[in-house]
Amino acid sequence: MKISARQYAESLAQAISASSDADVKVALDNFAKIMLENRDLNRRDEILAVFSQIWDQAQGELAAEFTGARAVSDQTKTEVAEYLKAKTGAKKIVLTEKVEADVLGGFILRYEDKVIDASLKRSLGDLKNEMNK
Amino acid sequence: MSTTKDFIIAQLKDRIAGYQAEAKEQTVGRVLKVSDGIALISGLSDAMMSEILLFKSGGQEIVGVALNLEENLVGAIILGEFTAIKEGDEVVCTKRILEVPVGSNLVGRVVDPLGVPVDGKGKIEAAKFYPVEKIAPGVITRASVKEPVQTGIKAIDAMIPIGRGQRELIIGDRQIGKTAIAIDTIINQKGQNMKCIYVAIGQKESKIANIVAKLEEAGAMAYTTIVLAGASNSASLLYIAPYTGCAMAEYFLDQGEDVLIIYDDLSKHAVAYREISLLLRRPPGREAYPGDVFYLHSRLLERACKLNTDFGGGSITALPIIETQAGDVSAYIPTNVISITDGQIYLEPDLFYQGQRPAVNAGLSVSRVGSSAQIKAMKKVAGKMRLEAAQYRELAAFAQFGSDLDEDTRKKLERGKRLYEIFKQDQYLPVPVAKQVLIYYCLINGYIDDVPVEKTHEFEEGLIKYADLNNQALTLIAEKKELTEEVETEIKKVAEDYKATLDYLIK
Repeated sequence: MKISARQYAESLAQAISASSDADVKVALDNFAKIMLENRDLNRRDEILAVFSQIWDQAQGELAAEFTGARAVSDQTKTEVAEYLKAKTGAKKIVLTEKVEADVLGGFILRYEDKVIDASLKRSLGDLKNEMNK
Repeated sequence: MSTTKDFIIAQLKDRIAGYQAEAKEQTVGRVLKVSDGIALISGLSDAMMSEILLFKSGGQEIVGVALNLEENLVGAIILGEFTAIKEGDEVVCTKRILEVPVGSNLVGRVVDPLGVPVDGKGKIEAAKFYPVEKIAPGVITRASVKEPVQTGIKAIDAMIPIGRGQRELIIGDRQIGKTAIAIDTIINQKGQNMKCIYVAIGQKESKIANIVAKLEEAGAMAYTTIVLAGASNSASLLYIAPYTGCAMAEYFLDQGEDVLIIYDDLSKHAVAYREISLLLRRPPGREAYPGDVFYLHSRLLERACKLNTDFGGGSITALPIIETQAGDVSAYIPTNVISITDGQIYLEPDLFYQGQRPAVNAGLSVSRVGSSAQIKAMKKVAGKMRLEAAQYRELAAFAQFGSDLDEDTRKKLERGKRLYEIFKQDQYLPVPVAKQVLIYYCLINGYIDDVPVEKTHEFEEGLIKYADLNNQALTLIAEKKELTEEVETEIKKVAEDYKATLDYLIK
């Protein structure tokens, strides 16, 4: 039976959560051995990507990307983080900021597979569509 | 001039005032892979089955439909120009199921499977949008089939009658007159209170152009819509085309109207679905079709129905067409569709090449519910005709061995020959039911026995022309719809009168 990347990642997360650093080392060694036995080492990138997702979720961490036309103040960032915490129930928000002049104004917030698009670019686009109707 | 300018400005102001900027949360995904009209998308955790997805590629929005929902992936078919879509493009959920414009504005138009006109006659203002996939009407809403669909084709109306709400398969090899039967049926619906929808699936566009021209010439486009998924369209468009046609038919059904829908043809539809399924990596089964190919057609044809009066009393009559390979009706798709439909019209190559056109095989063609829909007059004259026609063909094959036959057999053979002559009919010339009754009455009552076989066609034409001019028989049949004594005497009179004018009768 083929073991999926998610199954690998979940079992790894289970094995190393709530264990000491020394135990983690042993667990990782064993994990690598199993992967080698199953000849799945070439899938490590895929497995690691899923693992970081699962780990973040378990720790209540949520990665989000904030795109604005200009750099924003720290206060705004905390407000956004608070908003996301309230909305998703995550404990910690890892917010990366991106500046794109294309956005014109407002912001685009991405997290998980969701997008909140409050940019001026989209509003103008919508307005254009509305007037074309 | 200034008034128009002011008007435009006022309009613009209205629009801008009415526009509300709002930020909505959307679920997005990214294209992982595109190939041949199929896209694999990551993310989109909220995607629903057969939901419209928007691909934002190169500044334009391309429509797709979610077909496979997996753990981390969504498989979608792309309904449009898929060459513009690249890996990594953003895809957005719309929270809408695939729907198409419906309404009476579509009548007389040629549209693609998304309801966009392709006939160059301008935009269509749709009354409503209907979902493409819909569950068929349930038991409670249905009534039994009891009104006839007059195809205008003598062999079919007599032997294999079709009722409103029936599903009758037209099956046969290529180039043998399957589409011709469908088109003649559409032409004959003039004044019969019927809307027609012709769904072309994977047909040559030149053929469709011909059909449209013919229908226009016959004045049939006044009640006909054509849904065109041509041979050059992608498999995804071919796949949704029949469902689109059915959604358009359902609008009229909901208005309590009768609709005739033709799917030409479902073998190409199955092939398109096979292509999609294989690209989506669904496991192939027999003839490489996926496991749900039966459901593909059964859910489509089950939407044909006759509703009872509590639910509007409308009907959808479906005439699916299947093309066989070298007359093989036991292939996968033909057997499937035969078992779904309420009967089939089997067209035979041998008959076609003998010059018997339409080449309807009387033995293998059946209509399981249609006979209760025939008008009384037709039922009386055509009651045992299918049996007789089938027996004649057996007898004719047998009679080649021996020369001296008994009187009874000889008579049967002679009448059979004339019956088959009457079944011959030219394309685009449907015959009204009253005329059919007249000619069949003459046949079964022996009025044609002394007409030479090769003159049968001439006799038939002459008789109808004569009856049209000199006699009440045709109007009486059309009015009464049954053979009362009065009608019968009138028919006998016209037959005898006409025969008195002829000089080629066998003495």
